[in-house]
Amino acid sequence: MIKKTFAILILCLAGLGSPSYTAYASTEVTVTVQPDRIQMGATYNGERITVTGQIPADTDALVRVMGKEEKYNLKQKGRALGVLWMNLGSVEVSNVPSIFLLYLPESNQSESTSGPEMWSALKVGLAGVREQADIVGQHVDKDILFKEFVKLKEESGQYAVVANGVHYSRNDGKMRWFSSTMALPATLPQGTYRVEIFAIRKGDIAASAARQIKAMEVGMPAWISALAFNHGALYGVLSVMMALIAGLLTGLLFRGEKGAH
Amino acid sequence: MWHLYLPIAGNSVNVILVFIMGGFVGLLSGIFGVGGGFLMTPLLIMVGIPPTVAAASDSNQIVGASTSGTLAHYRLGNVDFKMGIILLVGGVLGGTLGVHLIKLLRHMGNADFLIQITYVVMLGFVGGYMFIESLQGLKGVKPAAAVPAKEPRYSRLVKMLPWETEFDKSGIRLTILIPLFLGTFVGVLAAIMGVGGGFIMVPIMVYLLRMPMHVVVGTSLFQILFTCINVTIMQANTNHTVDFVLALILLTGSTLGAQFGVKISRRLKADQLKIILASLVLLVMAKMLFGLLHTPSVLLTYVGGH
Repeated sequence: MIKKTFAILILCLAGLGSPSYTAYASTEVTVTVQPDRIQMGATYNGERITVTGQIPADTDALVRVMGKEEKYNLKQKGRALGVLWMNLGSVEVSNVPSIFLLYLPESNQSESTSGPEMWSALKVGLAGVREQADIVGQHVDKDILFKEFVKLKEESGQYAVVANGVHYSRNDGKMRWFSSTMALPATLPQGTYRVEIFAIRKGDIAASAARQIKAMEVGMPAWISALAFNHGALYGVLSVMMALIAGLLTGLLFRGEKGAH
Repeated sequence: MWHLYLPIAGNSVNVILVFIMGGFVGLLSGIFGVGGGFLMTPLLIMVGIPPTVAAASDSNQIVGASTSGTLAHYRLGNVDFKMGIILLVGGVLGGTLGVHLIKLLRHMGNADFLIQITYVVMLGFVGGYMFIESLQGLKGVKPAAAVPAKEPRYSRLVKMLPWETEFDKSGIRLTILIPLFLGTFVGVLAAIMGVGGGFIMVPIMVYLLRMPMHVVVGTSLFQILFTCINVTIMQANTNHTVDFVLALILLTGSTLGAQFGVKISRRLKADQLKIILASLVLLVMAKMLFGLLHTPSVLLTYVGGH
């Protein structure tokens, strides 16, 4: 595992078009993400990344990981004849991130945190994802479909909102030290992910910073993926041959026991 | 610990758990001559494998299990290759026909509804009939009593057809048109329902082809082997949904399970085998019915699977 500490990257969103982003100095948030490269080898079973940094002393930190936007074709279950649950239609959900992990700060740390309503108003949470999502489906209200989509993603760990997920260690009156250990799921698709830190003051985003992490298959999984996707027919024939050999070998191993019957 | 990352499934699984699942389903396959997809695919979905990958990788796994099972049954003289090949030809024809038929049905709308209801009713009918018939057999009542009036008419009809031939292993003389037609029928059903068809094929061989139960199991496995080879290569080539690592763990368990299954199968009487299989068919039907009646926890699903 390559572990690397990164130099500080600061991104201030103040004045960049969102009316809720109050102008504050861009140097107010610092952040480090470790590791920044997720290597998905044969033993990969999810990975924990540690996000640490500093925010202004009078703010709270929200940490968010988002994947690139994807389109999902899904089947929608409904009631046929009033009693039978079955697939009744198709639903297309697009412009939604492949991964959405939002870690909320320790509760009661500051008067600027006033509960879930505030996070939802900030648009950094799932409400923001809903606003951007395009949902094409029949029969049911789109907000209900979005909630069901979130449930589906939560089942595989790809979407999560974690309370008390950001912890504070020091506060020198000027800056506040935070850390968050985030669980990337085993179902993480390969790709680049954006890790963002929002410093919240009195219900507004006072400052923010972002870093990128990259997830990629290495070793045997990378080799198998390349074969399966680039040489499908050969991969299929090899898979069948291996299965035949395994079946024949087991058959031969048990050969000597025929006499028992 | 004991986890392995599966690149095609895009998830990691517990190797021991998947091995045990493979062993259990292989055991059923060896005993009854069914592929076990009805059980394996939902189990794989439960451990986090996407439905399309679960179904395709299971086909790959069945290649291993049915090779192992066919070999063991062959040694015991339980495989009727002639019958198996004719059924297989019918199965391929039926499968192709079924794929087109499903497109037509989907176009007409409400296809899924019709398919699931038909499947539940059919499983209930086949399982129920087999259960009662084998129960009577076990109690000592003549099995013929279950199909009294129909037999002469069916036999007369069959004898009128051309291309009669001897099936030595099964000990029957029959026109090749009947297994060809029945094979096509199962192929159509299998393609429409998205299942391997072993559950329908076994009762058909027992009741309509009048083959001995032990030869039915061996011949069914032989036929399933070729069906699954075809499915695996097609899925790997067109949809890239075969996870070979997953299949390898499963088949390590299932090839072993299949060998033990054949041993168990050998020790059971035909009626005992039938009644256990009938119970299993009824159990699958009950599970499907429960799935239809029980309110799902999530109203959306990914496309694919059984």
